[in-house]
Amino acid sequence: MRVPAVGAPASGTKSPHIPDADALRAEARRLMEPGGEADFTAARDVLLRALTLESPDHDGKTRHLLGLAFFHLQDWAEAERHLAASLRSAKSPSASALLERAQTNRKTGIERAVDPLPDLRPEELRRPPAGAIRAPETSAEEPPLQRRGSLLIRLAHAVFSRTLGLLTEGAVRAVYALRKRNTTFAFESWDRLGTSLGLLELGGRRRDLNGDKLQSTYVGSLVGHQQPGQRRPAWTERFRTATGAWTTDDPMEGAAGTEIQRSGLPLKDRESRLDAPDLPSPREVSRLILAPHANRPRQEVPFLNLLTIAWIQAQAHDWVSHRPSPVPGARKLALEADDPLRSRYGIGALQVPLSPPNPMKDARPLTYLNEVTHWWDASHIYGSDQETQDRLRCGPDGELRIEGDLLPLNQATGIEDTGFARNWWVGLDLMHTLFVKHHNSVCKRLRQEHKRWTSDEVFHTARLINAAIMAKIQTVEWTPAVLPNRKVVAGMATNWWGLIETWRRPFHKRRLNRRWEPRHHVLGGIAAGSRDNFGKPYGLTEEFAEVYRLHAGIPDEIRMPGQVIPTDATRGAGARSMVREFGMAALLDSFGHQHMPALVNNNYPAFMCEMSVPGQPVVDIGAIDILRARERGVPPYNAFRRMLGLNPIERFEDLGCSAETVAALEKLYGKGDKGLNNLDLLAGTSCELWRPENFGFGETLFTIFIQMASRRLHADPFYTEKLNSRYYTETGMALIGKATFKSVLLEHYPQLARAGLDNVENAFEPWGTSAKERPEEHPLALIEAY
Amino acid sequence: MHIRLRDCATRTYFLVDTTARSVCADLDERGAVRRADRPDAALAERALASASDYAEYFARAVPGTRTPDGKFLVRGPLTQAERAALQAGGDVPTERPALHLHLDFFDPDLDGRITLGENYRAWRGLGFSRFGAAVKALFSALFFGWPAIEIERIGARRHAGTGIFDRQGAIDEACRAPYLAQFDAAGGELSFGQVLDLLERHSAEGIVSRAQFRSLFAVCKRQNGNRDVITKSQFNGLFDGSLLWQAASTPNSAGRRARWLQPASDAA
Repeated sequence: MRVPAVGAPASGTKSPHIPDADALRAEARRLMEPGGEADFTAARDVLLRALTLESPDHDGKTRHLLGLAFFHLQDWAEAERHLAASLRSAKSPSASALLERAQTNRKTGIERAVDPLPDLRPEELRRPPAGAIRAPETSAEEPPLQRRGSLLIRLAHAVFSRTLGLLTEGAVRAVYALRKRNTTFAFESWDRLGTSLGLLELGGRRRDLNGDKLQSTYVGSLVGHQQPGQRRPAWTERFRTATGAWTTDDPMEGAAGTEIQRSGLPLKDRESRLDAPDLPSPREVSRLILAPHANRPRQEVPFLNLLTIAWIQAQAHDWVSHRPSPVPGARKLALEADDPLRSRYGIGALQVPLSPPNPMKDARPLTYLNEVTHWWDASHIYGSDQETQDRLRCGPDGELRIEGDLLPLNQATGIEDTGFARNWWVGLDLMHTLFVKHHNSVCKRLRQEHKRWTSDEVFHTARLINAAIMAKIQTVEWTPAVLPNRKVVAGMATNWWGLIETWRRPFHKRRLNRRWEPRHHVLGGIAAGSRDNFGKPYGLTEEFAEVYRLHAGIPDEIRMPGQVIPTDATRGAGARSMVREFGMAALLDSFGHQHMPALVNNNYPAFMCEMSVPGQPVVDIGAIDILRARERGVPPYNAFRRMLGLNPIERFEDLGCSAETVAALEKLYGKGDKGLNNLDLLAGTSCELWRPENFGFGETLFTIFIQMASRRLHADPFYTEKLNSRYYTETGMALIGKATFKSVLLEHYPQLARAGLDNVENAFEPWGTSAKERPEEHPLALIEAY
Repeated sequence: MHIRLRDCATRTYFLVDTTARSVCADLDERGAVRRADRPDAALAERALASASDYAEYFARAVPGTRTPDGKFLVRGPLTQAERAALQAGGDVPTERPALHLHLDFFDPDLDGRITLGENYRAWRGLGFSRFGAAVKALFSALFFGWPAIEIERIGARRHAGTGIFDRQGAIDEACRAPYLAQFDAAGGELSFGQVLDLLERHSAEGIVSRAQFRSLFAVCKRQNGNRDVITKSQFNGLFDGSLLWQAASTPNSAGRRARWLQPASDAA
């Protein structure tokens, strides 16, 4: 640390110490802004010295700088103290804003860097996975046998299913082959057809995506490079495991700690574009395309409420998560001269940690481990390792720990203890609390009927049921709410119940697996049908993770009765404070009424563009989102479309965004083919406003969605061949059959009926109005028969 | 479980019976072990611990795998005849000939005879249809021994092939070298067409050898995500006995693998 010598006070001058304090402040500024490698500790020491020389701090500048240094050191209390003192000396909007952020960060405890999830240790991941899971204690009570009917009936049913299945496959292929191919966007073909033909074309698209557009990173070996010849623990046939291992006969298929897979091109055709020339800075892309326009309100979706975004964030945590890097500052994003972060935080660059490399021996480049199970098993609630799962459980009846409406607190992290507690905010708190309560409610019902069952049997069966209820809600409610389009609504219902059931019966009367229903994934539904992973071990893909960056849907504030709470203040420990202060019912009520921000360009929440996370006082989530796709070998927008069999755009105007946005894209990426080919994926999908009717997001995202929304069900034995009363019990199947998001909410918070929930059939629609009053807020009412 | 182990650090061979908790070792490096060849207590305990750990998680002693602690390489099981010889105080070779190790896959009871039923189930385990497995079981029995194939005598009954397995069932490295060189030159994988060209150039192949390679292609294709290629490690795995185990352990798209990998007592 170089500190200028402090000279002896010169006699006769007006303020003998001021020149030295100025020099120290200048030195501190220099230490704080050298392009990303700022030394805030040194700057703090220099400024503390300046403070001893210059007493009082007449203009508050030293205190302001000290507050800034402490802010960067994530010592919020000291930052607050100095910033408050600075403001007493002189008014400064930037000091005032920083003080507010320091106060929020102190309350939310956002600097706590204790990892809520255990490490992924290569030596452990290489061992036989049966060693990392605990066999449940089981009672002598045998699970019920499935009624199978006579051999003749089964044979007749098989022939019937096969014949109808072949006809359906033929129709899917024919309609897909005859699709319009010369349109830029594929939906211009399927969305203009009638519902049935449109559905068949979408089925053809899915068939194509499940062919050579699914890529395994474990070609030629078992998942996780596990050794052949392992014995499967018998109990894993009946229950899900904590780590997701042994869900199928491939020991680690879909398990936590295995590689995230690929959609589109195989790994050998991928490359990182981190150092590609001619690409705009991710920070600049974020500023111009993702960040909200100053002094303009953010766009909201008329037909969705805030529960929609909280729901999908919780679900995404169930499916896929890259481990955060323990090494900060690996990548510097230099700030432009006019970047407001320069003056606001006194920095010249943002530091972004790169994704941690795959720690496995002989790992290939551009492979990353999923720290949660890939399966749709509610691992965000139950954890992805045995230790976490055991810690979250309590009592002899298979229940999860909860006191009233309060989840247990993890003393180490200072936030709620749950299966997946990263990115914690009040929206996640609502979802986790609701489904922990629902798990316990399912346990009670199971216990009434299976008095001899062990705690483990109750727990594991309740988990199966609870996870299936979430899968059903996501499939037949969340997705139709976000994409209230006739074909998609019918398509999602087809995924769960099958086409025949969807055609014949209204929503609430549909049932899984009726006796004479053909066993075919289109006619009879994927759920309760035959399992198929299309020859590629199941796993979510990097492309899925990239297109599910839906941060634009996060609000800047939560509107509670009589007050508005900044979302930033509901993060970390702030979530629990919110639940304590307002209670679950009031929060759910507000989330149900408030509209979700739209998934469009320039609609990121402002707070996320300069947010604090553990170890990093200032990050821009938008810039990180852009950088991650480049880093992880996910191609840019046009190449991404090509690899999925979609046509590329030929000019920015094709996206359907405003002239102002097109100008911003041209400024960033340049005009012509070069600009089009450099367009980052998220920038493209955010600006993709030329969409099918009522689509909450664009076609490029939707294409990955078609592949993965089906595959999550289709590849999971517990949603296909095991989705029956032998594994789930009769009670469980009945609970899944009746469950809707609304029914789950009302079971635990019946007072929500009067609060507006009774206005809607689908609880992701705004509760404040009914379909009669505001049809534009309830488009599903015109499509779905309830 | 009876298991052959090779210490990864010292290359010493051990024969371990995890049930009887007995350990024999080839400390003199003579290539064979008898019951009296007992290692010292510490060494025996180390081998036994690793073998027991392995037996807890594996259905069979699969050649080419490692014990979970990574200390020992598994070199396959002991056949019934070898167990009897060991019991009688006779010599048991530390390594089984590569061809026999390869064929042990088809002989789950390790009695040295591959019956039609065993042969059929093994082909099914490799992912072939009922019809395909039946045809392959029948034809291999017709060519190599009816009604059961004697593993010890198969070397003499084999027709012209690649020559990589010699008459005693050991690997002839000179014969294998041009194949491996071609794999290296092509970046680690060859198309089926390239392998057939190689066969044509380097071996006195006959119809049986060609049919065997077509079966290999089918196994590799399923493992390689339906691509018509074979990798170098798969080619090597064919000869060291690990490829067939790898294939049988890879589930089909319904998530199921060979049933006989699941011991009856462990069935759900």
